[in-house]
Parts: sequence; C-alpha cells; structure tokens
Amino acid sequence: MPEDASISRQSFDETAARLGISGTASHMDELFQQVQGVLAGTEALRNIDVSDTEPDMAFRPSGSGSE
Amino acid sequence: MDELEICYMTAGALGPLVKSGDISPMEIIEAHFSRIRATEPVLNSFITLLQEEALAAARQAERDIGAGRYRGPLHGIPVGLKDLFNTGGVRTTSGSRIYDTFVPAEDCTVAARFRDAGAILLGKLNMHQFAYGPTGENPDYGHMHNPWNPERVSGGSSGGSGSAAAAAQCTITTGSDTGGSIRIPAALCGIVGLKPTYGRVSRHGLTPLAWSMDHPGPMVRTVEDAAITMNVIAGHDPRDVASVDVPVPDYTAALTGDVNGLRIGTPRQFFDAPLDPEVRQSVNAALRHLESLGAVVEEVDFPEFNDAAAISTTMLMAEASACFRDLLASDGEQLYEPVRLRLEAGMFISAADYLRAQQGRAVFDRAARRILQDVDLIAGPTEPVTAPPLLQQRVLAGEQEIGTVAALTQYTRPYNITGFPAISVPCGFSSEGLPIGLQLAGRPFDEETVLRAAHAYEQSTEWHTRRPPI
Repeated sequence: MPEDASISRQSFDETAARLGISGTASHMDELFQQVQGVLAGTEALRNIDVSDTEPDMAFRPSGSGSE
Repeated sequence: MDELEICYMTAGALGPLVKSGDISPMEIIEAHFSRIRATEPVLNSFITLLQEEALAAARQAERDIGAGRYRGPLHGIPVGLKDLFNTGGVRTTSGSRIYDTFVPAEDCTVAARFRDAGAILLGKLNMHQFAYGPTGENPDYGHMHNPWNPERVSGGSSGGSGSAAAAAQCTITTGSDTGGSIRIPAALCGIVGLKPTYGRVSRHGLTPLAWSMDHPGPMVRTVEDAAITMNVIAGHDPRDVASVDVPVPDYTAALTGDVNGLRIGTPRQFFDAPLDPEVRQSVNAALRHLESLGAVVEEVDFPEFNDAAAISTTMLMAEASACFRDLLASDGEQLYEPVRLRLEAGMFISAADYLRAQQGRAVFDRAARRILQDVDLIAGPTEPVTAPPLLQQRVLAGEQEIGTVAALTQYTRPYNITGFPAISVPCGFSSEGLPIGLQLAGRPFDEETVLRAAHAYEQSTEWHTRRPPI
C-alpha cells in the first residue's frame, strides 16, 4: 500500500515541539510549508527499485583499493 | 610588470618566475592587495583579510628562495581559503557571526599543506552561511557578487572563492562541495572548479555540512592550476576517516593535450531536463569541439539521473540537521532564516527515509558506474542557467520556471552522490555576457582523465582568457 508522506498541521506542531523547534507564528508557518515540501520529496524515493540493495553506511567509493 | 597583469597570471606562469627570481613574492602579494582594494567594495569576496601576515610571509619567502630553499610551484603564490577551512591563529567563521571570534588552534590539513608548500594566505573567503546554499547569500558578512555582473549571484556556497579567483583577487582559491558548491560558483563566475573524488582530499579541519558528501577542492582560473593545486592538497590523511590511501599521481603530467580516442558519454536525460537554450547551445558546441580534437562523443542512457534530487536532498538535509542540531538549539535564532529553515526541516526526515535514500544512492552509484564501463567521462552542462539575479527565488530554464536552488544543483548533485571526480570548465558566454560551464565527470580516483580532457578543451578555446569587466 503506498505511503503518504504528507503531514498534518497538528502532527507538525507536535513533532516540532518534540524536536525542540519553536519560533514566531510566521516562522512556524514557513517551516510547515518547507517540511511539507521535504516530505513530498521523500515520496520520490519510494519509486526507486531498491530491492536487494543495502544502504552503504560506511560510504567509500569502491575500487579505491582501500577496503 | 603591471600589477593587474601579475594578478591575472596563473600559478603555472608565476611559479617559474618566482623560482628564477624574475618576480618577487612581495611584488605578487602587493599587486594582489591593490587588486583587492580596487574590487572588494563591489565583490565582497572576503570575510577576513590578512595583509600584514601575507606581506610578512612574502618577505620570508623571498629570503628562503634567495637562500636556495625553494619549496615548489606554490612558493610565494597567493591563496585564499573558503572560511570553513580552519586556519591556526586566524578566525574561521563558517560564514556566521556565531563564530565571528572563533580562532582555531591549528590548520586544517589543506591549509597546512598549502603552508608547507610555501603558498601565502591572503585571507578567508566569503561563503553561503555554513555552506548551506548555492547562491552566495550571507546577511552576516554581506552577499557575494558576480564579477561579470555584480547584480548577479556569484553562486555558492563557495561564492567568495568564485568571485576572488575570477576577478584575480587570488591566484588560487579553495572551496568545498556537498551539492555543487565548488562547481556552481566556478560555472557562474567563469573559472575552473574541481570536485575531487570523495576521500582524495582531506576534510580534516573543515566545518562539515553533510559528512558523506563533503568534498574540498581547488577553484582557479585554469586547469593547469587545478592540477598544480591538487599536487599539493591531495593525499591520504589518517585524521579524516573518509580519506583513502591510494597513490597520488603528478596531476600536471596528465595535461598532455591529447584526447584522441577518449570516450565521452552525454546522458540524454541531461538535455531533457530544464535547460536554458544558450547553455544548451554552448555545451553542444563544446562537445562538438571535443569531437574535433579526437574524442568520441556518444549519447548514453542515465534514467537514474531523475532520482538524484530526491536522493541527494534527503541525505544532505538529514546529515546537515544532524551536524548542526546542537547549534540550532543554542543559536538557531541567529542563523540566516533560509538556512535555519532548511536545518529545521531536515529534522523531520525519518531514519527510514534517510536509509531509503542510502539504498537509492547505492542503486544510483551502480548505474553511474555502468555508464563509466563504456565511456571514460560523462559530460554535460554544469548549470542549466547562467548566474541569476541576487535573491531571486525562481529562474527560467528554457521554457520551465523552477526554484533557484533546484536549478543550480540539478547537474552537480549526481557526483556528490557517487563521489566521482567532476570539473567545471568555462565553455562560453551568454548573450548577456555571463559565463557558461561544461561539466566533465570521471571514474573514482581518475582525476587525471578529467583534468586531461578539461585541459585539452580549455587550451584549444579562448574562454579562459576572457576577463570580467570589473
């Protein structure tokens, strides 16, 4: 089932408080817009076929001879 | 010699004259400070100037060279460092007033290598605050301005480096590149910017933005100067966990001028993306020119290019927010508002999405490597547009209006994902007189082929000889 990456204003406010983020009303309104954009961007990640692909958490360009 | 001509000389030209005593480091440094005094009120390339220190270093260089202690091609050559390269005893602000009085105890590895090579530090260069933006905006120390048109951005985040090199305020500058921050200002200011392979140049002592995508590298006026600089700053550093212990060649030896038979792939997806027609025309002309030099240029398929923004943005924002989380808590209200918003927004990215982006990175990397099994280089525009007006939020790229940040990082992000070496070299000018850059990317640790092709192109064209009107 496809996931929905969007966030309600209430969830945003709760998460922001939990993260220790605060500011003026206009700042939080702008941040809410940005967060919605960021989360929409992460939806595109779900269209990438990553089957059988592990995240390389110790990133090194392979072929370097150092591993 | 005329001071302006000294300033526009390259390290490759100045080095032999310094060695022979035909020009003195004092002459060079004094000429550059004259140039800085004349142009800095317009460009705002520097955060900190080090005139007295530089003149003292020049006097010492003269004594050393006169006594037979010549250190090599950068001895007595003026250098500027982006202000996130730690310099012992010299404040390093990272482009923020929060660090206005921060004075590191020791040099970063790159600064130490320049110092050991006898290069002379003129000052610390302006930058987008904390390197978190591609335009060169900085309310704390003033925005940077493009030497070709001061109403336009210099690009970022290494905007002061771009303007300083282009306007001959410095012979050599450095930048750091997490989503394009070396190549973007290089293209927009009409200079050469090399993002080396991840792990090739030490990050030790640099303020991080995103650990897995930060790359330090040279920003200069010619490919030869990029090679000369790489000979000094490249190499293993055990103090950087990402540094890779592979042999460092003599990069200048790669500058043979010969690209005969070199295979260059141009992804068709690059040209399906939003792209200014004048940029498209210049880049296509550059590719035809490389063909005329003997390279084999062929179209390749790179559909994964369309995933680069999602992968790169997710990783960069999550890592940057992790890097600066404590700063956000203690001093968030002092940050430039767009930088603060990006850092805060990144905290909403889940660990699952960050890991998904890392999986996407592996898929993307495999696809890019498959292309480089068939061709030696991947070529395309560095930027889809020329330098936009300062503080303009959206740009027109061909028939599409898109966000300025998305546009400026469109073609540079892929090589921060893969860590491949990538260079921007001037390949034309728009009808408005603004520079256009050609980007060439190669296999990991094969900077030599990247430099060889860029040098052959550069030396058989005249773009690099043009000077901004300032």
